[in-house]
Amino acid sequence: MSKFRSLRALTLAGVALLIAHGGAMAQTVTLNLWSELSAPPESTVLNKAVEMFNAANPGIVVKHTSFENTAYETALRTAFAGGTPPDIAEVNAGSNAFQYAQSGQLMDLTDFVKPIEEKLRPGLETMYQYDGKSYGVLWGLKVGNVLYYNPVMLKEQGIDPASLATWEGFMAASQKFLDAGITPIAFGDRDQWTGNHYFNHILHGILTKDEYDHIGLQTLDPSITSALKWSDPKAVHAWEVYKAVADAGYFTPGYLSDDNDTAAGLFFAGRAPFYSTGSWGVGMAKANGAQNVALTLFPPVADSPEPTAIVTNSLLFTIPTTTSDADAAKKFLEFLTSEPVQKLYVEENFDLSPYQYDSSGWTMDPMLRQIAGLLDNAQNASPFLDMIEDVKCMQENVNEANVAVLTGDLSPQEAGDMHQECVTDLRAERGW
Amino acid sequence: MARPGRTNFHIWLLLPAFVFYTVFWIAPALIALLSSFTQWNGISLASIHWVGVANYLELFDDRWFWNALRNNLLFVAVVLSSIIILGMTYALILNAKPRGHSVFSTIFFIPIVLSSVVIGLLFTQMLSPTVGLVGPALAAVGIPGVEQYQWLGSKETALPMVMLVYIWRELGFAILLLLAGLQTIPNDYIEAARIDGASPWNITRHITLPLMRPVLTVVIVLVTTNAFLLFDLVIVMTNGGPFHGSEVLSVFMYSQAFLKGNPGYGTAIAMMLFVIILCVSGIQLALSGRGQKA
Repeated sequence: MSKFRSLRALTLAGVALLIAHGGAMAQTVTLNLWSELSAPPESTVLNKAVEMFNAANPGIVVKHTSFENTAYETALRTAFAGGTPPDIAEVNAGSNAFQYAQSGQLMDLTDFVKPIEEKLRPGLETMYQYDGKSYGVLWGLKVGNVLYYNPVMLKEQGIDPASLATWEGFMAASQKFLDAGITPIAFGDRDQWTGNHYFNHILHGILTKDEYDHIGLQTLDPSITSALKWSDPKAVHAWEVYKAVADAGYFTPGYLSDDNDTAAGLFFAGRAPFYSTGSWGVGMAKANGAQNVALTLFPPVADSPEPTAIVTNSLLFTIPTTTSDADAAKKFLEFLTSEPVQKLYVEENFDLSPYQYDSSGWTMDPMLRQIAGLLDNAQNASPFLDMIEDVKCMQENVNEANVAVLTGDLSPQEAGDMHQECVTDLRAERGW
Repeated sequence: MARPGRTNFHIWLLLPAFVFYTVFWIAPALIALLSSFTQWNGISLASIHWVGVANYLELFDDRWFWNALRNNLLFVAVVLSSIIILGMTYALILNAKPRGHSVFSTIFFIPIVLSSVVIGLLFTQMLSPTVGLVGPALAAVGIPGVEQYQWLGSKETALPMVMLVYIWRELGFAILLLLAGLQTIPNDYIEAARIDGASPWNITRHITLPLMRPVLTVVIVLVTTNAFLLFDLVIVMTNGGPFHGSEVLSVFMYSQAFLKGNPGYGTAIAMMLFVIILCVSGIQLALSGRGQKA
């Protein structure tokens, strides 16, 4: 009998334990986070941030699933189309995020983002605000218009790096290298995004911030119109300058067939003195073990209205409307913008923070600190054009048109006319 | 009701394959067909608009569709004729078992086991005017003006270079099939012809080739279908460029569906590609069948 009692007591205790455990389980919220940050150092930093969050928030478990970069967009689109997106999704800020917002797939986070905006660098709102509403928080900040150069090669040719502050100085230095038998600018546009960036920086130097932002955003935001047309001489001039650089023979010979990695390899190996890429070039230089690397702002074209302006890029963490727990997801987003996480991001990812924390005590690569200085001194910041223009006009009329201008299939004016036609048709089609 | 002694066991054996085929092939193909009559953003089902045959009509007015189709047809014609001629020649040589034939066989078959992406990257590097070997090697043997030539960045040479690499990759597979076909031809026929005084050319023309017709048909259909579906090598080597110079239908479809945000239009291109392959393969099979009857 006593044996039976003991067994009964043990069973009851077990049931009580199960109920208690079940109750605790019910209180734990699990959030699925998807991102394309699958390679170090970016993946390492995000995984560390997730661990920090989970440790600090016992009731919430964030599970990070990372996808390979090119597969991510397809996976995310399919998940959204099927009504099964993750609880938190990382997307490219700007037009990419706005596609999901336009379809009503993302939560309106305007009120939640307001206090976070107070610590945000000015001019970055265009990356996450669509039609007056905010759809996420920025993670990291990349500066696009940076020119990397080899100071030893410049010294050998007697070129003062300070002369690279102007377009004329940059072109004169390029000519000097060419005369010495060295092709100056490492460049490879096989994948077209590099040409997009080059053209972007030239255009950005020619236009004012308003002109630049509006000529792109007019395809995304019905409330924005652009007085400047792509077919106007000012915009067409960007293609003329771009073509002139190629025609002068300044780009390395594989400029239409090499990819960006090959071009970067030429620069880091000391075979070309100039290479333009974004702030992520600092990390690339470290990974390549390159020694003779210095940087400056991509030289603004002559008579640039805002010669210190910056082109930026960032990732956005958003909350799909189907999220299982919006409050918990917001808590995670807020955590990502906190000082310890941003410090971790800057120190381990060779990148900048979009938030204005005092970074004087942070461990930063000197080149990264220099880029932070460029950012601090900038008159303004705008996103890359492909973040603020609809993909329907961007791919064909910038990425492909850039190649066509270099091959001679399109004249700069024809490229401008074609682009303007796309914009006009797109706005008419949408009834804007 | 099943007759005594007969069971429906074969149905149960076929069922997994049928379900798999239906779920992963027939259903997606039907969805793609429906999608080709729509316009949508690929993100939200709410954005789907039925547009009837508008996507197909637009295709006929799209100069880049015709450009991609022309590139595809040129690609198939060059690749098919090269692979059949070279494949048959090498298969005949290897079938005669000359000295070192096993070494040559291995060399021909190596590309089959390599991934297309690896092959594409390898040749992209070799053909690069900045880091490649091809330009300097050609210059070293006295060919002028090619040391820094953009083989993959020039409209004149981008597609031919992809063709060359494709032929190199696929040739081994064709040789493998053709060699297997040659080895099934009874030796008695050839011996009898030789005794009757037939020349090697007459033996090839009147005995070998007619008996090889079924294998040749398989090779032709496989090479044609695969060549029409070419995607990976183009994406890795040229990305369809420069400025559509090497764009084929599958790359055009990908560009429209995934890069330009037109999934409905993209699936219309896919459907056209499907119809073209179906027609070409049907014609090839019909011609081959007519030849056999004659």
